[in-house]
Amino acid sequence: MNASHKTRVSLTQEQMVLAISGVLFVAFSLFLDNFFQISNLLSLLQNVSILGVLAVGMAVVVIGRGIDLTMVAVMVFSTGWAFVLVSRGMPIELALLLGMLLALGIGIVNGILVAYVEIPDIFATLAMATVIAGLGRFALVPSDNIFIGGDLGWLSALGTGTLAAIPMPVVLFLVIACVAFVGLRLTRYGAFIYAIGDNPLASRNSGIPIRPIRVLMYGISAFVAFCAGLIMAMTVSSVNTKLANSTMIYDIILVVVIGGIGLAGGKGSIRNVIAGTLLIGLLLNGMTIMNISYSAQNIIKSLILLLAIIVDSVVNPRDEQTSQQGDI
Amino acid sequence: MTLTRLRKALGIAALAGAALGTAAPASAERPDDGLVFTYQEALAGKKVAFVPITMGFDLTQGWMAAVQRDADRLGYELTIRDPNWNVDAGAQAIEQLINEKPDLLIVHNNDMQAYTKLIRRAMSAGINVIQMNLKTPVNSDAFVGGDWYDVGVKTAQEAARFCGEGTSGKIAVVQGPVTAPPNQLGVAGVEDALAEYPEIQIVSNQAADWDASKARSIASTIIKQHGDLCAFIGLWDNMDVGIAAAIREAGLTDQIKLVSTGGGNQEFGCTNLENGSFASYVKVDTRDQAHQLAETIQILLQTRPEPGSQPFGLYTENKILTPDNIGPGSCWTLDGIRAGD
Repeated sequence: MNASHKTRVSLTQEQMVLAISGVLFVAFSLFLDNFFQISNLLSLLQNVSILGVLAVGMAVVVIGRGIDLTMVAVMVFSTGWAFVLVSRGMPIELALLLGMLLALGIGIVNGILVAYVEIPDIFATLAMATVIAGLGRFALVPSDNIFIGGDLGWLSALGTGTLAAIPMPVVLFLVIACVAFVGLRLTRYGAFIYAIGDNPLASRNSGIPIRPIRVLMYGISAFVAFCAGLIMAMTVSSVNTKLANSTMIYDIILVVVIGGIGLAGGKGSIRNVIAGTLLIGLLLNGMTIMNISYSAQNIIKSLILLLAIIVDSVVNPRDEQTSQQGDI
Repeated sequence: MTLTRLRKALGIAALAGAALGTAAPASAERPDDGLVFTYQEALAGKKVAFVPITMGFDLTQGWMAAVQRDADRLGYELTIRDPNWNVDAGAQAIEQLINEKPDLLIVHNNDMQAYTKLIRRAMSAGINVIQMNLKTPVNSDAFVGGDWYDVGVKTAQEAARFCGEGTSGKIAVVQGPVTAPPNQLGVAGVEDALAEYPEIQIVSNQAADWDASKARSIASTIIKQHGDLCAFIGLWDNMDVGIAAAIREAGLTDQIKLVSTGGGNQEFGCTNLENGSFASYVKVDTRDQAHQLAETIQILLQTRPEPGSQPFGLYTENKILTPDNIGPGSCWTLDGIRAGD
């Protein structure tokens, strides 16, 4: 009603995040030595690019009113298995193809569980994450850490190369983000995903094939997870399957939610992911430079997630009729 | 009903076979030196159980490769209950094993407190207990494992060696999970040892959770922040490959030395010394530990002391490997240990 209220509402969460990032950026530049230099900023971006890639995949699912908790497990076990096969003498291209097919297969199973068996997304993928981690350890990847020795040629450039001085992981993050942006904004399937996220029932009534599209969504997130895993493996020449038991999946959700993609679906875009990734990157970089202890870093990160969720529920209030948050 | 009967029948058959197999022909063929038969009897058919932190990493796989070899050779039975990093599942596994009453229980402690009571209970139930790699405050029959404090001291001394006159004297430490005891003890060792070198300064002390990717991120930020950094201390080779990647990316391999530590696995240890990723490596030799464990099992199964009455320890010698002193046998492979290396 009054002027100040109006301004508050017109400021979207994405803009708020960018504003906070801007403030942090200026503050860090002023108060932290060696923060504002090109090489540090590039390494800042590189350090969050894998998280950013994963968040792009997660964003696609969240926009379609889903959530994919299997992403980290898919990431480490699909690439881990591929490199186990390589170490047993399989040609690298074939091994990676098999790894990718494994990831896609898991994604499709996730999608079928959600779309056809109609298990709520969070439970289906939570259970699947455990299945993948267990089965992966039991049958596919014997060790928690797979070391990738030897020269892998062009492939290792994915992790360590540069393009016009920009680290390759950052380039790949931007490429994947662009592809997702185009896919979501300019194709029919993207529009379907938004529609399903906004109102699944209405989408179905208007003839959108919501089940196949849901399967597609989970296929995309699994494929993106495989790509992220490959980049990660190439950067540190090893795969750490123990990440499947870590809290990394929450970091991905943190990026998505903090960027302003409502967990209720139908809202937000890849721009939000980039905003969220930048903020997390700034925070992590600044906290490392300030040598803040690990536990304190975790507290700060989780408080920010909490804040983002609160802001999410204020900006996208619960709808009285459907009791769906953010539903129109 | 039928199953139990079948089992009984099989058991009797096995016993008969064993009796025929060992007693009759053996005594006819080989002379008794006064010990060899008691030795064989003490080991054959005994039950040894192992509860690791996880079977998913090089340490436990290396130990069990050697123990399994002995089990096959000497005829004792090895059971492994893998809780896959889960302390609760590990505690349940130990509890279950106490009921099953193996002759010997090997516990790979996750932290110093979690299994303390269970180890006491196992001993009061008459089971001999070996603690592996990390000791609880309770003494059991034996301890085999690393001296983590000394690992920290040695890595710090190595880093100090690289960061003397003519360098910035700046060192960064990349830890594992802050709560993991080998990490806590190691960091304490690092800090105590570096206190003796006033010219050296720890400019950053961050935790990377044993994760190479996290270690890479942290290290790359630290390198940007302290361009004149002299050395990194990493506390586990599996994680430290990430620090090495960050140094390589920055093109500072000659200036920034990475001191790492680990079990001496060929892939993570010696390969990285050979390709210049690690400048120095404190080896807590898994192969040595594997053989010491296998021997401790033999000793305890023969002596069968009252559980906990005569505790002894076998602390691993920490060996320093550098690109100059490594040879073909400096590191081990799993296949090598399986083959008797």
